[in-house]
Amino acid sequence: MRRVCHPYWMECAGLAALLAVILLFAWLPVPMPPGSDIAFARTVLRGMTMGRLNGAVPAVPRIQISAWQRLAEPGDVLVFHNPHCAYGYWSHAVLYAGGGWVIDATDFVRGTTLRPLSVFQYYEKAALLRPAVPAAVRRQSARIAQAYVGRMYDPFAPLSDDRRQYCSKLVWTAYRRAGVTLCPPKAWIVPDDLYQSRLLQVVAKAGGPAGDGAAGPKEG
Amino acid sequence: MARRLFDSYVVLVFTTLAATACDQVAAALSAAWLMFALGCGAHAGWRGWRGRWVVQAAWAAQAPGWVLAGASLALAAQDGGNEWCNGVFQLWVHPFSTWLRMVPPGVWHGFSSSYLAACLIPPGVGAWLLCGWAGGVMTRGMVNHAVRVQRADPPRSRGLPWQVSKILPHAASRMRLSLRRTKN
Repeated sequence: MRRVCHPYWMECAGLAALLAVILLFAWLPVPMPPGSDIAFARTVLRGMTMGRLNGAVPAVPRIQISAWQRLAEPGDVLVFHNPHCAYGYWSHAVLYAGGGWVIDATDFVRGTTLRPLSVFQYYEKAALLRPAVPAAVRRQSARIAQAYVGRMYDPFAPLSDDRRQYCSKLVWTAYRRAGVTLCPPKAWIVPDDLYQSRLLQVVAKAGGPAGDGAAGPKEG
Repeated sequence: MARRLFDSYVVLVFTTLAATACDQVAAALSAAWLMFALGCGAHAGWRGWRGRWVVQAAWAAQAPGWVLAGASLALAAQDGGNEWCNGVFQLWVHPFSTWLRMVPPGVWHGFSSSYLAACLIPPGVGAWLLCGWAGGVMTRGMVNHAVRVQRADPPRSRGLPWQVSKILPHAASRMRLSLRRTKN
């Protein structure tokens, strides 16, 4: 008996149907509960269909944050903004380790790594945030985060998974393990959630008035 | 075979993305796909495919993985310039992320160990298919040998290949017949 093999157009039609479903989900004006995971997923997908992901990186340094080496203390949280970010106003978050170094779950290639503060001058805006907790707790969370160096980067990692990290989840997990919940747990913790946390106070800002976007104003 | 593997892998990627919070489900699905790929390789070996055909099929089935791994490695020097490439590559290897997290943490020349392990997934799938293919070729050889021995000298047959014809005297002949049919 001769085996029937389906033609290529069926695969193309299947992929086209999948794309159509994604586009409909992203752009159909169906009301969704604000603040829910599905609403967030739709926002991200909508941004991605417009070519947005982590935000546009400027070709020249935009902000001067070298002075923050004197200001920052281990356990401080730094958030960064670049325009055209798909998942919020603040596009990146790192934890200050001390001595001009930060712990950064940056991308799939590098994973969780220690990076100098100077590499973050290629952002449009930055804010240095300090959790309103004792300094010992902040130092402890910095030590916990350093133990994650070398671990895998995965933006789909659930909060319960310690082996895979992404930028804001790393910050959240380090403080959670130190006994501090910076913001309520949900499917994805994004830098905006950290910025809006009541526990975090703005110590310094760079690159213009931070908080003029979706993250909302925050007093320093 | 390449199309079947490619289609099933794309379905696997979307299924595991949908079940992103359930690691066990994702791990079970990826294990099931690996078994399916092994079966495909074994079937190819049974049907008399040559090794290089299997390699070509494995390459075609994982072509996006090869391209994305190569591109992200090549663009890794450009800081922040390859976020889309990295992102799509991570999506492609997402079915295996529950396995990749078991890779010992570490950084080698700026590359994380899990990323380097992910780069090995496309060639790893090829090697896995070749394992299945080798199994299929060996099974086919054993069955052919058993049939030959059974026909030549049925009562005095001994040893592992002979046992096939001893325990299942008609099965081997049937398999031989089905082989001929697929050849035609």
